[in-house]
Amino acid sequence: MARQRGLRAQVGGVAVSLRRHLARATAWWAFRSPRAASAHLLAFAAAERNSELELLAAARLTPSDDRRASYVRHALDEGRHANAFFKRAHPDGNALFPDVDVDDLYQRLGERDFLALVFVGEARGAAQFRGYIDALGAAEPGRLFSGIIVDEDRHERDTWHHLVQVCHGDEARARQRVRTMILWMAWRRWHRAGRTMSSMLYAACMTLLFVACAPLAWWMKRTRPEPRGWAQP
Amino acid sequence: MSVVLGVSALYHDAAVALVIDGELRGALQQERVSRLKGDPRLPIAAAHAVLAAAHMTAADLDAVVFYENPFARLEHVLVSTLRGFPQTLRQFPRAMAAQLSQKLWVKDELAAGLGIDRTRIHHDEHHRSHAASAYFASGAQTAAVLCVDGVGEDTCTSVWRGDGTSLRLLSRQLFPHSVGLFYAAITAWLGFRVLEGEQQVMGLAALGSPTKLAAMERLARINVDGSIELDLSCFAHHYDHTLGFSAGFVKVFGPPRRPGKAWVLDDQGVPVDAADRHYADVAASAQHHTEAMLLALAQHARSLCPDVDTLCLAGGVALNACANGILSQRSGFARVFVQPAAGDAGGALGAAWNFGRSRGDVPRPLAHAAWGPALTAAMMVPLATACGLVSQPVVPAEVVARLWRGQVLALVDGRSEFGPRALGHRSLLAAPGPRRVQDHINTAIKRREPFRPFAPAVLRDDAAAYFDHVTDDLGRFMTGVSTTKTAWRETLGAVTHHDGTARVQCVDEHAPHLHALLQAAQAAGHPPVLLNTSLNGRREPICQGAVDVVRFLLAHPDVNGVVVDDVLLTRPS
Repeated sequence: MARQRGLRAQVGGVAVSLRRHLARATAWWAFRSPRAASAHLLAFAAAERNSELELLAAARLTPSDDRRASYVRHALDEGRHANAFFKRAHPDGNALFPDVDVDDLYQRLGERDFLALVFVGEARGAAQFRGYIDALGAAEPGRLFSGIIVDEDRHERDTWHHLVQVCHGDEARARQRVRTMILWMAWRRWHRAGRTMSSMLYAACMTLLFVACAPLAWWMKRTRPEPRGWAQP
Repeated sequence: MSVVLGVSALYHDAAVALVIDGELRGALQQERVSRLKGDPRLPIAAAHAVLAAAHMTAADLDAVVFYENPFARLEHVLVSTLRGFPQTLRQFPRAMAAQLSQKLWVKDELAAGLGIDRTRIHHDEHHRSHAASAYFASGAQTAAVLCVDGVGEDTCTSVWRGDGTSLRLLSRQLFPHSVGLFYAAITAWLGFRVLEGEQQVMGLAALGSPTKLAAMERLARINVDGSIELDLSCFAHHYDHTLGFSAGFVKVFGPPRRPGKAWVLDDQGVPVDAADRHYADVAASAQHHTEAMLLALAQHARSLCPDVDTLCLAGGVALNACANGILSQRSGFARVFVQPAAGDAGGALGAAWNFGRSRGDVPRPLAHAAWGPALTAAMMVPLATACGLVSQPVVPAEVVARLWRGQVLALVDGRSEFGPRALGHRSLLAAPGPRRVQDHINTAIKRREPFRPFAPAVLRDDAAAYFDHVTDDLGRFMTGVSTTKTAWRETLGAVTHHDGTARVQCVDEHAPHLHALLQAAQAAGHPPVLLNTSLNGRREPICQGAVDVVRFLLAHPDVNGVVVDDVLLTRPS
């Protein structure tokens, strides 16, 4: 554990520590009601499922048999976590699992940066869960986070081991890749925010355009009415 | 003489098909590679996988053909949204975004993704691709071809005539009067996911009675000429495709079922909850009416092609195995053929065949469905061992003994299947009875609704001894429903649905391992029948490679092992 803390301190320790404090401070809001808690846990379920799919893609593509097996084991844990979060969010099972997407991170980043990214994600996830445990104690869903955090710590260790391996044993290089990935994630977040803003602007513009098309719509209804029956070619 | 890659994408179930000189050499859905169920994204990864399996690269391709006309699609979106003004206010920005951000530039994206010149990228038309995929796969010299789906460009249903290597459009029905979108509305109202839950509706239908048939007939009227006319006040697809059904629909059938709500059945398979019995009755009525609509469409096709005896079906609605079974018995055609990837994935195959025809190639019929990349024991064992699994040699007789002891085993046999059905290459096998086997697999392994049926795989030559109305055209690819003979319903309880039907797969040497297992079952004194379901978990695509299969086994403790070639992989005892 001491070694793990040392590792975190070396690679983006401030950000990780901040995340824990932030989670502790916002836990009351995130879990303020069963509905809010459910939504929050569903978001975790989707994130774990996404991580599972990215790891399975990595397992298919890595040239190393050792890392392939490791990615599969890691993916299995992520799948288990996703199911655990989903079941906690909907104990009666009366819901559909949220849709997930994949970013093809391994293909886009290559194995070294993919591992650095997974390492940062695991460290941040564990810090966030620790913050929630600090705030929620032994009550659910704190107990769920306590169970999962054991796996997260192991993933963090294994991922660091593999990252150093693909950096040919150069720990300084591995730390540098982790810092780069922290910046890359910040850039991605900024990019996504920009995309959300532009989507809203686009929707507003298109709605106005559509309203302006009212005469064209009237003309369309007259000249190309809704077809019925068989149309001959 | 040409090397053509057909591509379907950007709606749902993206896929590629590699055709060389008219012969299919490889086909794969993108979901098998990305592991996202029904993945609609451009299937670049699937393309590379298929090309690699054929020892080729994109540079070897003469042409890449997209299965739809993006410009006709844009025109349809513009016309239909303007026609629906102002109801389409919410739909317009979304629909235009989808067209303008990707669909319109599909040729450029394919060229960039595959690293080839844009001049080699072409497009076809949605229903023409479907029609070609059905007709040329059938091997018929002349046939009527009926394509029924949600909507492709602006067409919902089309009738074609195939003669030799030519295909001619005879008539079509345009958006919004769509059989596929009618069924999608029912699917959404029952709380299932559209484009995925249609199979659930079909399974649920067997639990209910068609007591709402009159309402269904008002909802989707069958005209004298066989055309379909929807009562659009009950649907929403023509102004907001995310909704499916409208308030008018709710007024007729009541509130929709909550998505994901658990189904509880009694010992007879009847829903315990009265509301769920109502939902089952609506599903039964919708299924019954869909069959009536398809019969009417088939009659129309027959009137246009009175001299042909073969009907080929394609489009998403052609995956309705119950309706296919009815058509096979009652449409008046001697042959009814449905290829294994009848949905949008199959459009890739049709598009490739159509382009090849224009270069003088003669399409060759499909003898089997195993067109994906191969998987062997040599590829699987190292990973399995590294993940803590144990490998041991195994013979068919021992596999059969394990199955009849109640074990559930996965079977991996060479190349994977193209289409949504597992036909013995990526299958999960069990003994065909008793019924509790079905319950066990549904609840413990598939984690899905308890009413979902499982299909029997039977030796082709023995199928008629156990099932009625089995045809080779539908049985080969498990695309039609038959009836289990009364005397065998108890013995084959796990593969016989509540209404006595079964979606039979007739197995021959094209699935060599499954064939050997069925022969071994027969030699051991059992019926040559096995429960065969797809090798996947809940909401997962069918397993493709070693990683997927090993992960599946490790994630599903109720699956006892994986048989690949002559090796059995199990967890350590």
